[in-house]
Amino acid sequence: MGEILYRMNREKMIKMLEAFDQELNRPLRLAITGASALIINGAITRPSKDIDVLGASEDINKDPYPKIIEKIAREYALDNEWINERAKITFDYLPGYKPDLILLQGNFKYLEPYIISKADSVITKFAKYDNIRSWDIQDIRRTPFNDDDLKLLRQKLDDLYTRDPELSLRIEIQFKSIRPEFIKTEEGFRYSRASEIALYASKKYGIHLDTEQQNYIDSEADSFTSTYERAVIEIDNTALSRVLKEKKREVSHGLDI
Amino acid sequence: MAWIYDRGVIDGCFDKWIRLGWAGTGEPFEGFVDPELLIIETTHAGRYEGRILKAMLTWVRNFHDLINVQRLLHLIDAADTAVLGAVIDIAIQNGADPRLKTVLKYCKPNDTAEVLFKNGDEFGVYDKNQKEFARDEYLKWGLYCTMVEFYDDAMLDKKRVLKMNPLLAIRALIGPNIRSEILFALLNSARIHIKELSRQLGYAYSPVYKEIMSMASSGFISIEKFGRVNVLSLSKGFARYLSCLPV
Repeated sequence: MGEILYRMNREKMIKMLEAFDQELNRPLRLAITGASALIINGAITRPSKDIDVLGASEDINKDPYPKIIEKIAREYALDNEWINERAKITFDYLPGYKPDLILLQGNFKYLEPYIISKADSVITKFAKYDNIRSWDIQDIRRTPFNDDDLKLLRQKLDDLYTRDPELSLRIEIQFKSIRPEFIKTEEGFRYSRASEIALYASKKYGIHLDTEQQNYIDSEADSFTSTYERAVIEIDNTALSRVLKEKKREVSHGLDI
Repeated sequence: MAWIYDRGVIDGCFDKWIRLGWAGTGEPFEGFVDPELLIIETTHAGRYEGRILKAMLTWVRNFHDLINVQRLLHLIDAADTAVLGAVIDIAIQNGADPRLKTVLKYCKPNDTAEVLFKNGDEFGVYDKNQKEFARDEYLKWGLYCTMVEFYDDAMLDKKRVLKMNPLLAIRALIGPNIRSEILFALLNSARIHIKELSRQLGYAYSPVYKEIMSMASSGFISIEKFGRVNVLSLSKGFARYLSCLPV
């Protein structure tokens, strides 16, 4: 039954990275992503069978690395691909993406393992929005975020918005729907009036909410039929619809030419 | 059929799929796993936990020849047949034996399409996403879902699967049929009578009786009179032979 006991928890992942380090004779930097990044930084507790590498300073599929990886797999009864670069596919839908990296402290001589930030975990998990996996949603639902994580996520989404508004909005909406407790005003308070929603809509997207619409939002919230968080998500959805319409228009103009 | 959410059942499915060869999170189920019953359970539980549905999809594609179709059909009324239909259909499209198409005849798409995975999404964002990008493979079964992927890197090979599951080892040798079920049951229970055996296996008395008589005439099974009933056991030599499995 040893075959199926090769899953790694946080401690084992670090231990394996240290074992990997001991086999090296020159520096190697790794950027760790996916569920393994969330596990290593303690955000989620479920084990994983592999460590997902988003990038490395050298190609780990070339000598001497495959032999080292295999040796460690054998010694510690791990899957042969216990560390792999399959996550590089992320760059197919996030070209040129540069995640924030946090150095993992440990007993390392040559290896410099970095994990991507929680904000980057959100972005990389939901960037492939046409195939969002239900367990990615669970991982993000279970991940604790502090103010700094949320601030970084906000910055990254704003930055992404300038290059790819559709992608940025889709990620933002998905995240907000999973973690509505983080839908807050710029001052960091929960929305408590429709006028605040109107301000958000106007400032962020140039969407105008008239008095009638604001009254409607307030009455829905007062009667517990809806919430201000839902109203924020609806504003974001409206913005997304506009972006998609604009995109469609651009495509049809392109066809006219 | 209405299925009531039960986290314990979902966790149980996790452990059972691990026993059947999935390298998922959890410990392998201790004890015998009935593959067809697990498939049926997962058509419900898998809607709340995408990973076990993906594990089932991979398992059906990889080990289709170990599935007892007749038994699956016997249990099919308890399944979510739209989910089962989608899974079998996708597995066939990706290399599973077309004989599984028999099962599709008994599967019914949903009259009104619904999102496959239930995510507790109070804002409907996930549901909207699934509807927007739903794959045709699911749409034909009245389901909205975007997941057509397999655990290529997280499913044990057949030899290891058989090692962990003696029933599947017998099926691999004899075929996934009533005879395998009878032999596996007799290997695990001494002196059982035909009526009890057919009840345990979920088959009608007559086909079980027919197989028993055939195997008894070949010397594989011994029939002894025990009071007023005939009790069955494997003949000693054949029991020794079967106990070599899994190899």
